[in-house]
Amino acid sequence: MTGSPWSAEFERVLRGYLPLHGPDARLRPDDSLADLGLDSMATVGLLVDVEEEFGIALADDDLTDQTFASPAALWAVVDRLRGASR
Amino acid sequence: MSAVPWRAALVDRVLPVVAEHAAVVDTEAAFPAQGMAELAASGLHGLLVPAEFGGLGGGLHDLVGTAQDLAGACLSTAMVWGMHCQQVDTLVQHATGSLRDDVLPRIARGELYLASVTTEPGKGGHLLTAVAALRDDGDALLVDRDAPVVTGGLHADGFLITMREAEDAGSQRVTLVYADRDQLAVERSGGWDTVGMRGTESVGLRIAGRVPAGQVVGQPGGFREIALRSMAPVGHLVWSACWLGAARAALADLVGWLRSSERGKGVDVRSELTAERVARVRMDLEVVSAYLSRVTDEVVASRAGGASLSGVDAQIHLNTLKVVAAESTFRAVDRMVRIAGLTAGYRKDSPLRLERRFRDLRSASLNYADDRLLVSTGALTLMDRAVRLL
Repeated sequence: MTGSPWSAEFERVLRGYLPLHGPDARLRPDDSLADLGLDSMATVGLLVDVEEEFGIALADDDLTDQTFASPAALWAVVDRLRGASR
Repeated sequence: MSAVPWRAALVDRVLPVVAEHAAVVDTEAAFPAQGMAELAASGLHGLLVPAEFGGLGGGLHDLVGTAQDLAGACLSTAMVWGMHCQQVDTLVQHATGSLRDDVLPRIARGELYLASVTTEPGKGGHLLTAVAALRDDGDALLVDRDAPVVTGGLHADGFLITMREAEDAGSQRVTLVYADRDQLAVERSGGWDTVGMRGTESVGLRIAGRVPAGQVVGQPGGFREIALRSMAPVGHLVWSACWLGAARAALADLVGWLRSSERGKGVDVRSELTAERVARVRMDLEVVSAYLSRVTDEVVASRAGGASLSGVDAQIHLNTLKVVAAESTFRAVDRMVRIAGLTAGYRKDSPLRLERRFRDLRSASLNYADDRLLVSTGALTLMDRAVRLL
């Protein structure tokens, strides 16, 4: 995944929750996750998978529309928590 | 809390007309034209229109209060009017420029009754998706779509319509457009012969026409934000208020009957069984009333502070209101039928009229399905470890 600002694991997990995103299309930092099919049920699944993948726990204050608005916004939170847990 | 001190006088003026036509509206599954004409003439069509545009300048507390009052007389009329007000709120909050300056004064003058076109075949009842796409022919936007359920659609003077943003846009990119009746060809495509809520005349329509780009409400593709800020919260508030108003009027009728010599020999008002059953009805309505009031406060406060209502806790509260109101008001009227018995409770020709309210309130859990909201609330609950209760 050269050229992406996030890790390959993040991209793999995230893509699993975006049914409206073409498998060959590039995921851009500011894509709207809602537009790509992330609904409230999918958000829970994504949250749990991301937390397990990176061994982190998002605080309730991070669980906002903004956090799940775009790949870049979610990665910013994940990356911050990932750094803090190292 | 009321911003419109003379609201009660206006409601008193329209209630006799609304009540007078409640039975025929139900029997014939016909739009409550007389009641809506009286509401328009009274100024209540413009309840939520700011005073600077000629409206009554009312707020959401006025809306839920009026909806309850109307629903006591005729739930179908209350729902038709309430959903009109839901569209008005959307325009007040999100329409700008010439569209706002054109439509709001017409609403305030009672010239514009609005219907909502959000249902569509093939999208499984999802509010936030659309199938049919807007097409831009260079001069105007082309609207062409089916809508299987449009409350009052054959009688509307204007429509708020959801469309997919463009032919190359995903189903989640939804644009809201306003259209005047004379900008559209509106053709009836389905009937409305239902158990209850018959007077809403929520027939299927096929709608086609051209509207200027200036009639897009909010941002192109940005309906999600409108739904979160206006359409969903106001919908849940006004529906819940309507159902509560109907159930409350039913209880008032029932208590009056129980206290009168009309009650049959089969009902012993001195018995603990009757008391327990009546208590259960009252408690259901108490809880809905209090929760409706608190959620209304929360929506009003978050709007005043510019918040979006998209927080996990606010969404849970709005979903809970709708589901609790739907379940509790139907349960209450079901219990009332049992209390009144076969003759006074179940017969169509009983002066208690419980059977119509029973049929009407059966729709509550289906009118934007409780199942869908419960799934959403369950997902959101898992995202709120702090359990921020209202």
